[in-house]
Amino acid sequence: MNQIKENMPQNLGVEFAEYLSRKLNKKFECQEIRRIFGGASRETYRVRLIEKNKRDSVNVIYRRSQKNSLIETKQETEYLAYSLFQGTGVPVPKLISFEGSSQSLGAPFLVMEELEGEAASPFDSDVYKPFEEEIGKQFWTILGKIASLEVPKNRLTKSFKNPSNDTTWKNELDYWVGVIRNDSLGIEPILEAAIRWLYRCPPKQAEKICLVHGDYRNGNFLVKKNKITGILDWEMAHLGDPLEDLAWALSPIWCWELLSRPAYLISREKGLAIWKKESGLRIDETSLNWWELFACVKGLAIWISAGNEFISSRNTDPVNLFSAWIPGDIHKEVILDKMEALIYL
Amino acid sequence: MKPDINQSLMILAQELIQRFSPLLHEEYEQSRLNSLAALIILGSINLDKEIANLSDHNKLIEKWLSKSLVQIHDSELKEELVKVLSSGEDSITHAALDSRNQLLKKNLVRVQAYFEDIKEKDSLIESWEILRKIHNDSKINHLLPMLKE
Repeated sequence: MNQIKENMPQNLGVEFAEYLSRKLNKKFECQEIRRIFGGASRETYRVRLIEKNKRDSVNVIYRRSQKNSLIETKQETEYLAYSLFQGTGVPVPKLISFEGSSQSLGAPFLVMEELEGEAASPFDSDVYKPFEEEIGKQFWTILGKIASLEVPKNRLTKSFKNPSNDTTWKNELDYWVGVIRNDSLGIEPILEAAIRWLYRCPPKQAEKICLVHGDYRNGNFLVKKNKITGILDWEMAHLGDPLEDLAWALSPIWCWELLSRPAYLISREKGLAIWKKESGLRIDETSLNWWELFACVKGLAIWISAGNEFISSRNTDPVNLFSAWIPGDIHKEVILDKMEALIYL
Repeated sequence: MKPDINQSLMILAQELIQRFSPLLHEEYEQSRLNSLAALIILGSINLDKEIANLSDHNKLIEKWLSKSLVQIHDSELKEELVKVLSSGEDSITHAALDSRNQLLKKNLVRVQAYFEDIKEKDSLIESWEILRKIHNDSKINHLLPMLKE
């Protein structure tokens, strides 16, 4: 059993309410605490609290680090990314509290206000119907806004690595290849060929260095009818090339049953036009192709890592096995398609 | 004759979903149990053809590596390949076939990288045909709609 799990309070809801009461100088009681299914990098809970002598309850989201997560990331990364977009055109939940150490409640955590809306499965092709056009426009507009934001370097460079425009691709590729080398349970020729190609044919240097969300896709935003109410899951945020997020969001894995509509929203052409207008950036097709193949390699690295967590019994959450089997298989097929296209050129 | 493993696993998974999942009050635990059961079904579907696939794939890679020897002018690589190809495995257990498969794939990767360096396009195309066949035989992503149900 890992350290963080051992440190989990017996009565998490009560202790959480006590913590927040101290923090905000109020008197809360926990009415309900429920873990939300999905996502393997954090344990996420919806907590319903009621303040003493008040009638209405308030819902907050409590995101707690777990030691053996699908993606090993620092909670501070997520906190800094959320902080950066508070009060901007990029909808994110309001931050209530952040604890970077395990002293309170046994593990680092974030507390945020709960936003309206639901997060959908990225594998459900019908989930945004009949609002695909409206949500699609918002999806690519918001990504353009993220790319256009000038990052206040003094604040973020303390925690984030600050890559140069011409090395960001290599930093990212080295990192994810490292994950593959550490966690792979066997050799996969399709993946190895893609890695060789990526090192051999690098993209052009990044037009700018921006904050990259790192996992911008359907399923990682909240939607209420025809409106995106919040962009979530910033734990893989880092400084890098804006094309990285673009390529990840376009990846066929997120529209596997309807490839003509990335993220099951609007067409690729429409999405890219919106992103270009909003970000004010150019799209170099060759570089975008590089980042799209990179997205598959990064994806496979994540799914390989998940499979390793599961088979080693460090984290037997079924989401890890599912990730290793189905998304891993999809990304392998996408790489295969791309590599065949390159070899038959 | 004993009940077939694949079919038994499917029935057990259905039992988990239909009988035990509704008994759980926590939505999180219920979702987790349903996912587990769905994965057992998925695993049982693939179990049946796994050994035959591994055996076929090993033969395919061995054939390609043997054929490639003519195009390889790196004596060290050639020597190692000959050694691998002459060390065939008679056992048809899953573990033995899988271990052989890993060894062959490792060498396929080495030879592909070599052919990329010397731009031996025809052999590379043949290797990608093999990788496509291997993927098609073992793929499971077409079962995604089933998992959503």
